[in-house]
Amino acid sequence: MTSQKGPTPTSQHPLENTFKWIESELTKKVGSQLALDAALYALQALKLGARNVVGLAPNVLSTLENELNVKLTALVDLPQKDPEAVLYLYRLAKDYKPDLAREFSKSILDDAKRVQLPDGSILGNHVALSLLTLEFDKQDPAVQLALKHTVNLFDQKVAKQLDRTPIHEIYIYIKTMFDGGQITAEKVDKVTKELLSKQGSDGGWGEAENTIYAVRTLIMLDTLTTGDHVQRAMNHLKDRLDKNGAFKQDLKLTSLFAISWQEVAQAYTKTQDIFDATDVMSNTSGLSLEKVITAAIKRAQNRIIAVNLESKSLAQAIENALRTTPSLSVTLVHPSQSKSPALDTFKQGANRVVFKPSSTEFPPMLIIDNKLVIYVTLRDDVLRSENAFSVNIFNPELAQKIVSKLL
Amino acid sequence: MELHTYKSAADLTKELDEEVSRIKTLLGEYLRRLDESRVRVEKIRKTQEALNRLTGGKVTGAKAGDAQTLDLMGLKVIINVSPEEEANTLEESVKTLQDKLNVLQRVRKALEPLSTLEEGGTSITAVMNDGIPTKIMLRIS
Repeated sequence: MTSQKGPTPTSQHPLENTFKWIESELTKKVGSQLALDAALYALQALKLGARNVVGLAPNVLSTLENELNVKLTALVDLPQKDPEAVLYLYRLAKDYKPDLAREFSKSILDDAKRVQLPDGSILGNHVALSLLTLEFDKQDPAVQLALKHTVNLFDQKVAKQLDRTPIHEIYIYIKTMFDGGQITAEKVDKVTKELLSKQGSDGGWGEAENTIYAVRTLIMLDTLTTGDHVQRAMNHLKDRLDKNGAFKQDLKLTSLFAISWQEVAQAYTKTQDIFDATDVMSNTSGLSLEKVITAAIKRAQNRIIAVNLESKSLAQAIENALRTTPSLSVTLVHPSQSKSPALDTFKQGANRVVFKPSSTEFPPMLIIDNKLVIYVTLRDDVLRSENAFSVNIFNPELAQKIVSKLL
Repeated sequence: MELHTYKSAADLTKELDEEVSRIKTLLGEYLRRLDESRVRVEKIRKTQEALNRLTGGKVTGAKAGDAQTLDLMGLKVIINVSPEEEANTLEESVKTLQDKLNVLQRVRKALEPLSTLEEGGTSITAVMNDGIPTKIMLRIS
């Protein structure tokens, strides 16, 4: 099983020095020589690190309200240059100055619509503006059209030359499609494989910024199977911090690193939740259920896990997972009269599955190593739905009883 | 450089919006042509690669219709333009237009506070440079 520990928990936050340095830089420079984007990244890092930003955030927002040049930068230049900085600004304004947040979202959305072409593309940096407008109004038809264009651009241009596309650009595309619910298993696999193939032996992807964006992309796509790679990258980055816990005294880069650290920690917590729940729970992790299944199968050797999964891709997922855990046995129990397409899928896809008809009326089930039970129904629309859930059976006797009854 | 006079800030904003709209249409057309041009460049590149493989690299540099550039009193005249040259020229035009669009958006935002001025009591004169206001003169009667 891939290590899922994430940043090691200790009594003191492992990035304590980094947070202190960010806080002190922000306090020293706010309102004077501080670049707006760096200030926004710093505030986001402190927020994620549960630091108090009450004293600092309103200062940054006031500068923005009162200085026309700063406001123009935030409204016109930054959305194209660095959409994430604007996202952080918008979320901050929602907390401290809701009117400013409304003004911002309306202004940027109006501007984007004004320069949108009939095919959905927004002139300028399309994908950056697509990401932002999604945050402002997901339901707006113009925003949905822009999202559709982003997906087309990715498929037709970026996906064909992933190896030549800067990692930061890949990240923005993936984040936009992820936020818009348009990421597919095929895209996840393609990008994950490409990124992992480029990871250096030191754990990094060249420059610190590239490494940070590679990690942020990977944890968005697949925390379950990339754990070791992410862990190595984070250790590599941490080792490169100076004695103050910073990267080359660069506030934006240091804050970006702190943000990614917190994101990694949060992603691992969510992943762990999938397996640690003592009751029925929703898969709200944003992870593909196919990956959850793969991880569940690997864990089935020492635990009893039942997963309700509805997906046409299940057979393939099972087969892939079995390839890496050859000792497991697989039995598909199904009602003898069943004409379920699930059976056909499994008959075609998984050649190691034993089929066992039963006279009992219940949905088809897949039993792996007498421990893992997967309820098989075939509704593809819920593959990524939050309503698909898993149930952990912690009482081995009860689980054994259920399994024997089914067999 | 031209002087344009407006009865209200709304009139000025309207003109800016119309200019944005004109550039948007133009950019859309240029981007479409640029895409076609890039496809042509890519096709030629692939054909050349294939030919090179077949002939062991003997046809390197052979282009269908090499372009010739003349300087006519400072005006660049390209004869028999190659798809690559066309794509580069279009890219330059797209970049210039996008920069102009960005400047117009900035100016439009900067002028928003003027919308609070009462209509009728103010005349606005703008110094326009290539469709972009570079100086605004207000006369309050």
